[in-house]
Amino acid sequence: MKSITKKVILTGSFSVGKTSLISRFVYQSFSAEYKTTLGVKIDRKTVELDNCIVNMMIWDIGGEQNQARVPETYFLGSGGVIYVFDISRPSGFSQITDDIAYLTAKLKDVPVVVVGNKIDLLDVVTLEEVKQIIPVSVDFYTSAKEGTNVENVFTHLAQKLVNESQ
Amino acid sequence: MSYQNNIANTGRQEDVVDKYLLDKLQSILLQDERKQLQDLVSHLHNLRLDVEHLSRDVTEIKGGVFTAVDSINNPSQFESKVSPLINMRVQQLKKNFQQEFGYEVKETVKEELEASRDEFIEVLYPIIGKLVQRYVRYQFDIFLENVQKGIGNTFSWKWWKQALTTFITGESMAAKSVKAAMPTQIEEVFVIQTNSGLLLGYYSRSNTTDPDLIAAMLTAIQNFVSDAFKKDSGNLQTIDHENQRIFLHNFYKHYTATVVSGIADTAVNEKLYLALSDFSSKNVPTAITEIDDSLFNGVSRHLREIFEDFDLT
Ligand SMILES: Nc1nc2c(ncn2[C@@H]2O[C@H](COP(=O)(O)OP(=O)(O)OP(=O)(O)O)[C@@H](O)[C@H]2O)c(=O)[nH]1
Ligand SMILES: [Mg+2]
Repeated sequence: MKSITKKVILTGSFSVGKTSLISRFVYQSFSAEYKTTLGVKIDRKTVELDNCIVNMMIWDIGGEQNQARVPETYFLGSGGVIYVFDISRPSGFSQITDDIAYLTAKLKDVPVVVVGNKIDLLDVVTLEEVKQIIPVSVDFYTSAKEGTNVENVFTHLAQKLVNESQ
Repeated sequence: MSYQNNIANTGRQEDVVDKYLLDKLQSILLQDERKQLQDLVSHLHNLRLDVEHLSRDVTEIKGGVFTAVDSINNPSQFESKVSPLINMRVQQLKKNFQQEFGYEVKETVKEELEASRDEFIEVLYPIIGKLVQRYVRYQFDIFLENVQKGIGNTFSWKWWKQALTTFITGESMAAKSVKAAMPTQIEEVFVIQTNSGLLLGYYSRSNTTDPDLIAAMLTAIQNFVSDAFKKDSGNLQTIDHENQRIFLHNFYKHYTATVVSGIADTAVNEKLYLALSDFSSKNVPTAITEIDDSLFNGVSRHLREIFEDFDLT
């Protein structure tokens, strides 16, 4: 089977759960302890699809209040972006629109997957209410803590990366 | 005193009325004053009670202070009393510091750095090497942690760890003599896409590392350097360690990292650069849309062909 290598970045605000999503995906683990990421941390994981093996080099970027503050060099050469926000922190919602606009302008033709994380913190009713006030269309609602949808985020992006390159 | 009496005692009715009113007024006024006086007295009384309480408190406090002073004069006693409290608070802070202050610290440091970027560079430039070294160490620590989690501790990881330790602590005399006795040899070559940090090709004599991760880490380190100092020329050129040295060479859309053991001086560096630039122009495509097995294997095969028995001397 064909195998390709891609750079994938996880970005978003401070403490939204980027590192936790990667830990869940790569090491099947979760820690409630919060250790902020300084600069960037890199992991790898291979995703096997029907038609291709995608070797993902995952760049976990330290959170910033807005995406314009992320060092530009980290974005260079990325094949896909996972933008993460915290569903339990509505005060951060207003920033999402600007961030996504910035990312899509900066990284033309690069797929951006939008992820609302920490759904385990809301009950079903509240979650539905919160979904109504999110200003952008969200691709996945996840919980790094419980593992909900985490695998799907990465496989979805992997599939996109394969489609892009065909 | 009645109104009638007053009229009898005095002749003039008006005077009598005046007198009566005056008396009445006086009595009212006096009554008021008396009440005030009473209030005042009870106030004073309360005050006295307060003062008594206070002085009792002061005496107690004084006693306390004396004991405290005693304890201070007797450090072991003082310490035994105070240190559990301090320890508890320190532990609390330690545990919660990032939650409580992490964001503020990060933001403050960043603001400070941005505000005084020029001064920062001026002051730090002479020790930029050290800064980069520390960053490298930090990144490698995380990196090793992750890798060890994933693939276990192999000989090669020990090598990297050792490489890094000596890189940070500097070159020892023993290391120098070891180096002098070693043949000059290429251990590993990484060909790395500059933008993405993805590995385009790899050659190793021992073939035990995780070259993909190393390539990405090296790139992140270069990103850090160019971001912190806002110039591309600030790139890392060599990384030293006990008996090996990593040479970094930049080309159009990729760069190479070559691990050399033995004596690795400028002559070696130049020879390497020429060989790598020739290699690059012949074997590394400039327009790469996708890094797949065939590209990687192709570049790697050529690397092996050229650098396996490459004479560096
Ligand atoms: N309940 C819950 N907590 C989560 C979830 N994901 C992350 N957390 C917690 O949120 C905190 C921050 O998580 P991180 O993964 O470190 O966040 P980050 O986005 O990497 O943060 P920075 O590196 O500072 O940008 C940690 O205490 C995590 O345990 C989740 O899905 N549910
Ligand atoms: Mg993080």
